[in-house]
Amino acid sequence: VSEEEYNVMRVWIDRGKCIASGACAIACPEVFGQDEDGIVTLFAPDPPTEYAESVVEAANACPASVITVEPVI
Amino acid sequence: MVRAIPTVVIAKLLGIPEADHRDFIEWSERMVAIAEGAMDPSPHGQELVRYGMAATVELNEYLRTNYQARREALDDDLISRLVSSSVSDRMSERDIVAAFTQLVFAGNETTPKLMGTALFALAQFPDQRELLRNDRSLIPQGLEEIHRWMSPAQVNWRIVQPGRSGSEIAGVEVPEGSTLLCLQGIANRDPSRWDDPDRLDIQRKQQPHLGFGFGMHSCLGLNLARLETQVWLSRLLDEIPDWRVVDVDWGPSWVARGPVRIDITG
Repeated sequence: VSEEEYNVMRVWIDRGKCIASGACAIACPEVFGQDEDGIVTLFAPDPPTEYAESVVEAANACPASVITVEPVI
Repeated sequence: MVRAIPTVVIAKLLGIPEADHRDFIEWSERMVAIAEGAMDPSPHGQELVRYGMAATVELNEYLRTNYQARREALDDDLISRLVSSSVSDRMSERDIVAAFTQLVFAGNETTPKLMGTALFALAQFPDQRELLRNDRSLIPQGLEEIHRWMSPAQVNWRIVQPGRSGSEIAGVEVPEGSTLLCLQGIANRDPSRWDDPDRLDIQRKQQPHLGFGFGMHSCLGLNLARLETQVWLSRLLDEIPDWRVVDVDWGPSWVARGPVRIDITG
């Protein structure tokens, strides 16, 4: 899926399946953080378009596939 | 030898053709290198991160293809068993693929390093090796002792949350947003818990160590890791009873600590 499709996007995370690899926070620190134990936190469920590319990169890089990105039409 | 064994075991469990085992090793190593690259702001570090993230995508793709193929034609491997199990009815394809990816990612780096560490440790304490060779029933506790003595799991992260300024540990102020590296390996040599902790003593009183973590973060693969290392070590003691270490390269990583190369001679 190419990032061009996400002009407006919505992001979900599944904290219960997160393994705290931190890959998302490296790919897109503006949108993804980590709590004390390293488990993913979401700063912006509706991130600005400028972060589209790195949000998709974060979702793809997650070894546990816990990040879902969907376009909002 | 030690690099290949755990990968081949996991690949065979998953029913992966032998020709692809090398790719498995490479994907896993690239994924693990993300953690290393993340702490290195140089272009090399950034390259490691990019390269590792691409490996995640490639491994997911590869396993997804394998999973879909098993849905067409079942075989006698772990992927097929999950396909035919009712458990998979309650899981999305994405979750199933992610579970396999994590199996490859989690088992391919740590167990080889534990094996490499065992080679190093037993060459340094040949009397302990002698004990193991003469009484194979000591191998399980021997490996636990090696694991205590120098575990591949030396550090763990904790992140100081924003707004938590004024945090203090042992008189040192920790600014908010900092990443703390907790040296859990040091607990395995705590003199208040272990007598003469720097000594490898396979007959010491057996008690839990932190090599496999604890609580909800305990290593899920610990039974496989124990089995693999026990079978491997017993075979090694038959084949090369008194090896010496010629050279050892510990590599740059202390995230998964252990030899990246170890040359031995019989």
